[in-house]
Amino acid sequence: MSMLTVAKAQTFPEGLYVHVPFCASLCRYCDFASEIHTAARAERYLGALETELSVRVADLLPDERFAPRTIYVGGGTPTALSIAELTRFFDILRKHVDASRVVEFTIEANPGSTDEAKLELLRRRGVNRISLGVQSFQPRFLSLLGRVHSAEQGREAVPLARAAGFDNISVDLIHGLPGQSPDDLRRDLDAVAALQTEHVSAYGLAYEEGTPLHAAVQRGEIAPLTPEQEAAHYMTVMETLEQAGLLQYEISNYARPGRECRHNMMYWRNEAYLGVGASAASFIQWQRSTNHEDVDAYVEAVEATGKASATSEVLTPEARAREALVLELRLRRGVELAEFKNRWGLDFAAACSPAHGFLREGLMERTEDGRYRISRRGLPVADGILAEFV
Amino acid sequence: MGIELTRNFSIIAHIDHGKSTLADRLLLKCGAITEREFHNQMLDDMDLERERGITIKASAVTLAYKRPSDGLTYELNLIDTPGHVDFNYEVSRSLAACEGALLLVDATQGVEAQTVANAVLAFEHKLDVIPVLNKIDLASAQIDASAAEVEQVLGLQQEACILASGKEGIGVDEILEAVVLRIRPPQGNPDAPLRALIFDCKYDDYKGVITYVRIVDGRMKRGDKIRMHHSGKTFEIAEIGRFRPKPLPCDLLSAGDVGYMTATLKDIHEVKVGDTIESALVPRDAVTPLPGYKEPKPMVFCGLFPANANSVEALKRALDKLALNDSAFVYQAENSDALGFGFRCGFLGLLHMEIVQERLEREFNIELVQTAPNVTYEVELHDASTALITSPSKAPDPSLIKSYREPMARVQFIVPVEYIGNVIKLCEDRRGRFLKQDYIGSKRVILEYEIPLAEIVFDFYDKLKSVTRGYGTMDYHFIGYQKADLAKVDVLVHGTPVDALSTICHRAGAERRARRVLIRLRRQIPKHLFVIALQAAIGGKIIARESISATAKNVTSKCYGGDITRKRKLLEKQKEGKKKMRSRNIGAVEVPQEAFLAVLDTRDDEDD
Ligand SMILES: Nc1nc2c(ncn2[C@@H]2O[C@H](COP(=O)(O)OP(=O)(O)OP(=O)(O)O)[C@@H](O)[C@H]2O)c(=O)[nH]1
Ligand code: SF4
Ligand SMILES: [Mg+2]
Repeated sequence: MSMLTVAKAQTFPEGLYVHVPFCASLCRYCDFASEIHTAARAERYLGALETELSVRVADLLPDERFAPRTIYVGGGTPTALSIAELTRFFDILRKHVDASRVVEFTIEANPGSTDEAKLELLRRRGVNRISLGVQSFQPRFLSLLGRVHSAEQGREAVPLARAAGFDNISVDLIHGLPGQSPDDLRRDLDAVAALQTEHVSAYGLAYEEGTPLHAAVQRGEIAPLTPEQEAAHYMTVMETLEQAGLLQYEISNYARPGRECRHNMMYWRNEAYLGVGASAASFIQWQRSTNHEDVDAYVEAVEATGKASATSEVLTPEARAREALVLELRLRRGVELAEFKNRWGLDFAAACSPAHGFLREGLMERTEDGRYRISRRGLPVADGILAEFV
Repeated sequence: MGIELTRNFSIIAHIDHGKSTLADRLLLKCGAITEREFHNQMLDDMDLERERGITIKASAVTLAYKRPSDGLTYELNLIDTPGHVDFNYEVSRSLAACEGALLLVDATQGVEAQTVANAVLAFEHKLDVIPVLNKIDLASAQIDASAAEVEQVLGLQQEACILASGKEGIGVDEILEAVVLRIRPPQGNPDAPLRALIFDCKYDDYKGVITYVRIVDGRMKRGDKIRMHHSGKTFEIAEIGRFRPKPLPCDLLSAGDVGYMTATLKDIHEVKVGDTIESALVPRDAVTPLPGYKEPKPMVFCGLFPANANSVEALKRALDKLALNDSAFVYQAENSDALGFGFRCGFLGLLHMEIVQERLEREFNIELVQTAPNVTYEVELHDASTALITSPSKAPDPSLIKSYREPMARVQFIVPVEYIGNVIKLCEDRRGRFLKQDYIGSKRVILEYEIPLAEIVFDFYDKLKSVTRGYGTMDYHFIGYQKADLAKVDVLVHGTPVDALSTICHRAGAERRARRVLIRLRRQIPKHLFVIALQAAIGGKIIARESISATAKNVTSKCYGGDITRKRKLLEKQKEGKKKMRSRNIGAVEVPQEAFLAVLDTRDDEDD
């Protein structure tokens, strides 16, 4: 892509993110914009969502319909919505978005919230990829995380989705859990591998401030693993999933060849996208903006003005390029110098003198086709590396 | 005022025996200051002196003493001196401007190491010495025992001791009487051609260079043409005056007087302490210069580098100014791979070093990175030449060196008998050689050792205090260089030798010392993303190694649309945090500035 095409892509985003901030109950580690689902709250929210979507799309493309290539419905737990609410949700999308170009349409779902009827509805409304929040297969860790579904439901969620016709399934897994032994981890990884999904996202547990889990750690009730143990777990995850044919393509994401999440790739390629709903972020014409996180604040803002942006920032060419670099270095494909320069106008070699030290120390490496990337050894400390490039 | 009515004397003593406090009393008694102005240690006018409660610079003051018995007014020139061993040269300079000295002995402590050292200096200068037993207000004062020590150790009559308390003002009248009666008036001919001794000088922002003088012969007036004997340069006197205690201009200084002079000096280096000022009207060859001083030889060196590379010029100017006030302090430009442009600075001891560094940071507002101090060494090369080494990193290649010579000191201790064993052990640990031992009465002992200077200048004094529960005192002086089995130890951080961390030390202790340095470095250098190897080497041979483990985990696993801005800010913060830490890059390793001092800290600490 040349700089010109990049500029064009910035004007016509090809991705749409929609946030649904409702869950059946709240997990102890969660710091997403989410609240307990009730019919009344969902009703009002869907109204605001429709308003925002119509206003944002009209702003973006006054004369034509918005026809993204990818749609990603995240949350929250979008499938916490009832059949009727989901139906209304898809109606809203159909009304304001032209789905004819869509190649990937993902929805996030939780085991236990996805019965046959809902899955069938999703399939019918064009969803072709499902991301299941399985997280762990062991009751002990599910309860530690405050997940409401059982290990059994986690295991069954994938066959259930298969049965409904999904041929592109991802599961989320959390590792580095307090008290998780290497064996515990291996068991989870084996269980994931056995499910034969197309995609796995494996996240190291983060103790985010403000969450009950963080508070429990502060009180000394829960002892996190040591950084060394966490790093060792991460290494095990990378190695085991790879052996299972799931190739790592990003710090926390693994896929069978060709099944990388296109929508998420767009984030890491620093491409433009439109995001609607509470806490949703957009990146359009080099402007990053983020909606109010709080559902009430979001709904009130939309009802008053048609929009709900809480913060926004226009990136300078240098900032864009640096951001692109930091994001692309998350990818296992790495960065190709000439291509990067052509695309972002930033000379990697000049801007990135720190890379030399990292290369020497084996924290970064050059791939066979000459691309620069963070090495596997460097991945557990990727932030320390990336901090040198911002 | 006639020369017979003038008395010039210094107050000398062991550290903290009460010199400055007694000086206050004399000032008050003679009306140099009013009760209202009176505050403790008047003459310690530098901030640092007040904070530390010690005298660093000698200060002179002229007192008008109206003697009750004859009704005459005497002019007393008093010089308060520092007690710490590092500032010993200030004492000898002061003594050269005097005919007498008050030798104070804290009656609760008795005669101590610097009491002896200073008394010896006073005798060498052939001064009239008046012993004063001070602090007699304290219940713990041992007047008889102290008087006996004065007689036994210093050879002064017990009966000559005056009992005093600077704090309570006891004995002040007796002291003033004794100064008049027991110290001879200055000699010297006011009608002879001018000869004045420069015994100190300092830079004053208003008056410029203020030169402290003792007139030996002749007179000084404003407008006189004078010549510095050493350089032969001539100047015109702009102002003369006396310290009362602030510099107060006067019309005339003549033989026997102590005062100051300012002149049309352009460069601070045009004044040399110890030089003779003479009349420009007399040919230079016709003047016999005054004896002057042995130049104090700085034996302790360290590198001072500006924390901010832009301040090199400012640092140089500040060093210039300080060197004027402090002739014992020397410096020379130095370039370090690790620390950039800076200066190698020489001091008389560790306290002297600390003080200079603190003044630079405080009075001149320059942030410094200091390297660990070392003593000077001599090396004999295979080509039969010798070289003086003040910077270990600049030592010649080991293959060129035939032998090292290190500076030796003769050390006198005065310790209570019960601690002799401890002190002997300490001296033996420090490669000391026993010279002699003498009892003072039955309870205390004077011990003498020869010890390598490198073993005593850094932490020895603290060690002595701790093994003698604070009762032991010591004095030392340099006696010459001696061949020793030394080696240069280099420190490599991740394979890169760091010049600023090189040390020279005794081969036998090298490994232990090197390990300690590496352990300290390990504590000072924060974890990096990779394992950092720390090594110490003599020549090409590694004698100690340590490593700093790598950061194990630092990664945000989730980063999608909404996280990107937040994530970038987090990364920026990480980067900022690192920038704020004052550090230097050694290869890929960021070494905090404090680490360069790590080598200095020789406190024993268990290896962990
Ligand atoms: N009780 C008592 N304390 C005294 C007397 N004279 C001095 N001191 C205390 O002893 C300490 C040292 O007094 P200084 O006058 O600073 O001693 P110094 O000899 O000038 O010290 P240096 O200049 O550092 O060598 C201070 O805490 C004084 O208050 C005295 O006559 N009696
Ligand atoms: S399901 Fe997801 S969004 Fe909902 S509470 Fe749990 S972690 Fe948060
Ligand atoms: Mg004093």
